[in-house]
Parts: sequence; C-alpha cells; structure tokens
Amino acid sequence: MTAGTEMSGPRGTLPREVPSASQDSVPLLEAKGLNVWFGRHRRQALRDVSFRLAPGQRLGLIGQSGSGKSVTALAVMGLLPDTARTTGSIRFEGRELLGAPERALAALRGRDIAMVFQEPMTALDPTMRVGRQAAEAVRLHASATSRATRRRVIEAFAEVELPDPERVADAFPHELSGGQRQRVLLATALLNRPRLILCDEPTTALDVTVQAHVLDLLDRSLAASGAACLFISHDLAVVARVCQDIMVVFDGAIVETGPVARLLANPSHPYTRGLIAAARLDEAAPGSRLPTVEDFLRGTGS
Amino acid sequence: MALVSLVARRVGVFAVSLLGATVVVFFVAEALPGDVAEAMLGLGATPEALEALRHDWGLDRPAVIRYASWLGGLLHGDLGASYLTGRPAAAEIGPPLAVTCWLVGLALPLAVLAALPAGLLAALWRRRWRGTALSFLSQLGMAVPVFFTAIVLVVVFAVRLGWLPAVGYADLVTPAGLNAAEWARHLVLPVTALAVVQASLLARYVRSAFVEVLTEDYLRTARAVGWTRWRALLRHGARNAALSVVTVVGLQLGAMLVGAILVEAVFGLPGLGSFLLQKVANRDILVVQGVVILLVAVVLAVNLAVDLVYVALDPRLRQQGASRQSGRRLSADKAGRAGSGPGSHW
Repeated sequence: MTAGTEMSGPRGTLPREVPSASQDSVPLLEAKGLNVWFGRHRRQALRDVSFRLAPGQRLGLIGQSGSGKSVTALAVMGLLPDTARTTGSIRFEGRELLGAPERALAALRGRDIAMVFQEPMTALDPTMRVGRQAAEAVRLHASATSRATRRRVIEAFAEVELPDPERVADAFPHELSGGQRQRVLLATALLNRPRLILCDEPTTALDVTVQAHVLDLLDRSLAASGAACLFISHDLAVVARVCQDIMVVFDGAIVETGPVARLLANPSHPYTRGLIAAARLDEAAPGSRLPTVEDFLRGTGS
Repeated sequence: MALVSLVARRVGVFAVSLLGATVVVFFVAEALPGDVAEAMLGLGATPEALEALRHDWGLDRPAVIRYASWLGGLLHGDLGASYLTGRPAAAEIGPPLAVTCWLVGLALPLAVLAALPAGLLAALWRRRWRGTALSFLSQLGMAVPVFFTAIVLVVVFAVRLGWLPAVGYADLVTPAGLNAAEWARHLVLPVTALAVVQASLLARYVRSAFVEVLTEDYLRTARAVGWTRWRALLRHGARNAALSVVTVVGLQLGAMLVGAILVEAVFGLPGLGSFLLQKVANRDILVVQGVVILLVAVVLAVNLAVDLVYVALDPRLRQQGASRQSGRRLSADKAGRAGSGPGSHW
C-alpha cells in the first residue's frame, strides 16, 4: 500500500510548521478547543478540551465512564464513529489532524501513532491468524519480505513475553486468552516504534495479576522506545504506575491537570478527591461504609 | 483431527438427508390417485387391460420392492425409463433441465453480483436518503411477485421497445452449430426477472451483515494499524460479512427453483416447470420422481457446499465442530464500548 504523497518520506522528514531551532518546545501532540458531538441530537461528548503532550511524556487521562476519555483518544486517531462531529484542533508534530484526508491519517496510524484498545476479546478479526493481523501493521507502512515481516512479528510477540511466540502467531484470536490477546495488540502497536501510543484502558478487561504484568510490559516498552503515551483509565493506581502527569476529565471537560504526585496530594476537583478517597482502603475503618466517588460529587450540580 | 470429523459429519448428514428424500419422493408420488396405466388407457379401459399393462411395467409388485429397485438404479446413476415413451428418464429430463439450469445458473450469480454492492452501499449510507432509497428499492423488488416483474419486463422490452423476444427459447447448441446470440436474446428477460427478486432479497441480508460488521471492534483495530476505511472494510469486513451472506445464498436456491418455474411459465420456456406438470398429469411417475430427486440432490449439495465454505471462512467452527450459528453467537457477544456511541467504526 502506498502512503499519501505528502506522507511518503521516511520517518523524521515530515514537514513541520515550526522551525527546527525551537524543537524542544514543540509538543508532540497538542489539542486545542476540542469539541465533539454525537448523533442527531448533538449530544456533546467533549467540551473545549485542550492539552499538550511532549515527546516521551506519559499523560494519564482519568475520568468516569462516559466522561469522554475514549472519545479524546479516538478523536486523535481520527477514528470517531461516523455520527460524530468535531471542531477545534489536534496537531501532531505541528500538523493538523482534524480534517486531514483519510489516506494521510491512515499513513500516520499504526506508524507514528498507535492505539491499544480496551476490549482484547473483540479487537481482533476472528477469521484471521493473529500473526497475520500483526504483520499488516508492518506491511502497510514499509516494504519488507514476508519472511522478514514474520520474524519482526515474532520478535515483537517475544518482547511482550508471549510464551511460544511462533505458535501464538499461528493461532486464531479465539484460541488465545484475554491477556494473550491484549499482549498481541500491544506488540502490534509497538511494531513500528510509534512516537505516540494511545492506550484506552488496556488492562480493564484483564484480571488483576495479568493486569500488573501487562502494565509492567507497557512501562518497559515505553521506556525502551521513548514513545509518548496518552493513558486512559478510571483507575488512579494504574495511572499513577505508568504516568508522570494526570489530566482529569469530567463530563467531557478537563477539570484539572498536573504531575501525579501534586495532584494526588492536592486534588481540587470533587471527582478527583472522591477517586483518591475511594482508593485509600488503608484509611477505611472496619465495619463502616466505604467512601464512593458519588459522595464527593454531591452538590457539584453535575 | 477435528476438521476431518467435521467434514465427515457434514457429508454424512448430506447422505442421510438424500436417502430420506428418496423415501419421501417415492411414496408421495406413489400416493397420487391414479396411475400411468389409467392415464394412458383412459376411463373406458377394462380392468383386464389395466392389469396387463401394470404387469408389463412391474407396477403390480409391492411398493417397497419397487422402491428398492428404483433406489438401486439411482445408486448406479440410473433414473429408470419413462413408462410412456420407453426412453431413459435421464434423456427425457435432459433438455428441460438444461433450460432451468441456464436460467437459475445465470440468475443466481447475477443476483449476487448486484446484491453485494447494493447491500454494502445501503449499509454505508444507512443514515442518508440514498441508503433509504436503496432499501426501498430492495423492499419493492422483494414484495413484487416474480411473475409480475416478468410481465412488466415483457411489456416494456418486448412489446413496447421490441428489443427482445417475449416468449420462447432457442437452444444454445443446434445441429447447425452454436446459436449463442439467439439463445442469449431469449434468456435476457427471464434471467433478469428471476435475478431482480433474488438480488433484492440478498441485498437486504448483505446490508444487515455489513451493518453488523461496521460496528465491530476489529474494524476499528484494522484502521488503527493503518488501513484506510475502504481497505479495512474489504479486508476484514467482507470476510466476516460473507459468513451470514453465504448461508442465505444456499438457502435461497430452493426458492429460486420455484421462482424459475413461474418465470418459465410467463416466458414459455421449455424448462422443468412445464415438463414436470405434463409428466404429473400423465402419471409418468418415474420421470417425476427422477426430476424431484435431482432437484432435492442439488439443493442438498449446495447446502453441503455452504456448510463447508462456512467452515473454511470461520476458524472458530473448525475447532469446536459447532453449528453454523455459533460463529454469529460468538461475534454477537461483545461488551459495550465507551464513547463510541451508536455509530460504526467506519
């Protein structure tokens, strides 16, 4: 497959609007005034969302389900459903993604920006061997022999500690466990060494022990490749483990943002306070009711 | 291995069904009032004459014995001989069978070729007026009886425009040589009439198959690794959508044979429809049984083929040896997706 003409250069030669002298200050990803509406009734899912992500930075995006976390990531990927209407600006290395032609976006997806989805059980094509599905990520963005491609896929599977990667590559999705499938998806996302990885609750569907393992793998892979990461979760502990910074989204708007330590020590929004309180099991008195996030939201009018 | 036993089981089901069909076909034909001797000699025939004729043809033997000898012949590919003409039933059936085969064999691929793009576009445009228009057209094509479509085609293209013949048939191969142009001219309208109904019906199934595929997570994954919309849909969507469409194509074959008989009547084609009616009227039972068992075998064989194609398309079936439907159940079992709303990933 050929990439869009303006995208066909090798990595690092993409046109940039900002002169290279000020590269350090160029965010890898910058969203400005992002609004998203869904459906005929124009239900608003994102309200004036703005954030920046520096190269290599790991930003946790935390919020309740339905608050707009996934919508944010999908908007960056250009993969919002066809009922969505989007305004604002999303720039990747200075280039505007919103309204960019599908071919240019497709050339970027999987090569410079990769995504790991929440549902490993349904995110793979049930009729195709997972090794072939992963190989597509390579074949779409570079010309390589099928043997070399397969070797890369198997290496990538080994890197995410899939046991017996050769056998896994020849397996169909239904023959793998949830944790194995999520590792396949993670390995696929990492294949082209993207500069940005969007993780949409990659461990939510997994059981706790597998969850910890996958997070470790993600942590190491990010450290090894130097990729930036937008990590979506509703679990503070998970975000704190992977990210340096946290952004809290509530009802489609960003309500606070900052380094993990500062935000945990000094939360300003009731939702954040509720999340922290609900996570502090060591402070719970035996026999008394555990605090919930809703306790803190009461009176905010939302 | 699971795959081998799965295929063996499907073939076994095919064989048992076919055997069951021979019993039903034989004894239902047997239950028809009157027999070929009465039909041939007429109402005024003496009992002695009838008896003599029945004895000549072996009709006085018990039904079970006659069934056994018929089945024995079938196993050797012998349909028996016509009581009336004495010619082998296979030779009698050949020419009308060829007409019907051309009719169905051309209409079915044509219907599939029309239904695939129509259904796909109807799915992609389902929230726009263009998609609604396509759905309306396919509803219309389904609702209008096939003979009405046929008559409209005759009125427009044969009577008004005079482009094509209204009735009749020309053999493809004549003693004088190949007669392709005339043959094709006579088949255009009947094939179109039959294909319109089937295409309309299939388009609806293609549409719903793609509507389902469009909301699947793997389609979004495919785009996330770098496929464009269309390529993701063709590479990862089409195969999954084919799972349900293939089944319908197989099941529709029986309905198409019925439709073919109606279309043959409208266009005066010497196909199996009129042939069968005439043979039933004459109580030429062996030929009737031969035709019916042949049609049953074709339908069963196509369903076997569908089953095997299904196994080839869906790896989940290869392992479990489960039924056709289980693949759909698996794919339908998906969790809610936060933020993606009611829309598709396309």
